[in-house]
Amino acid sequence: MMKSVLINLVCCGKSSGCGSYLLVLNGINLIFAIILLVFTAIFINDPCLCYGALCRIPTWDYINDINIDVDRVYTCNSRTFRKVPVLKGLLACAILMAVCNIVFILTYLIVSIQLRFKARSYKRTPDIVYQQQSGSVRWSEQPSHYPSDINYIPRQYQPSYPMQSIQRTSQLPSAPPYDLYSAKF
Amino acid sequence: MYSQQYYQGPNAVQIRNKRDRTVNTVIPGVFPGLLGAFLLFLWIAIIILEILSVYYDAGRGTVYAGFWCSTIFFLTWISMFCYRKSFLHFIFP
Repeated sequence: MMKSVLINLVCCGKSSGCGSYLLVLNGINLIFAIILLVFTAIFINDPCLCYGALCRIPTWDYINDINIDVDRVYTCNSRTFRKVPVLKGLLACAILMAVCNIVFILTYLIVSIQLRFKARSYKRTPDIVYQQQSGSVRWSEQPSHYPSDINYIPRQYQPSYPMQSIQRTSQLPSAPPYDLYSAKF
Repeated sequence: MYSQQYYQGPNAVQIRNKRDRTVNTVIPGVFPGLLGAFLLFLWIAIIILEILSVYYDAGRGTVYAGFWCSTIFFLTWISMFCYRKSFLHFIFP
């Protein structure tokens, strides 16, 4: 019970917009993977690089130092350079993640474009078929409701304006023949 | 012997056209599920490597990008599992 509620809350499930939701989410994920990739590539080039207040964080050698100096900027040591292989692994992970996102986005786009080209080749039939009941009274057999030949029922003519105004205009000499819609019909 | 019956069903029934397919019905649920599993392992790897990187030096050579990017990665892999009732419903029926 709890599991199904959680799944239905988190997941888009079988809804029709699930694919496009995943497409948007993969695009956002791709952007963040590229951000991670760029930062990691910069730090592989120069592990001693630091930004702003992060330079004031002491290295692990000075972490037990009692004399705290806020303005002191710490420089990198040999321990900092040991993170270069770790950063290379991080770069590989970021690249793989970006490749995964690109694969999903490309697959979704290719399939949707193919479907659109296929849909052009045949005439789309309407989804809703109106079934006309030939007789409402049946003998004791199962009611068979197959779609009839008539797919389209023409709407009855319903004037959106009052009839009297038409008659008034038809009395004019230059008026077009509106007699078709007169009161006798 | 014979009894009269009145048809009491719906007058118009919506019929799903087999040709009328969308992307969501064509792409199987296993494909995003496998990609999501791969993203899950990459997400774990990124977090572990970022922790290692901070362990070696907390100030230089890091902006903690692995941590704040992994929140977005989390959202992505968890919703990749859910596409068309794929993996997660298979694990938790």
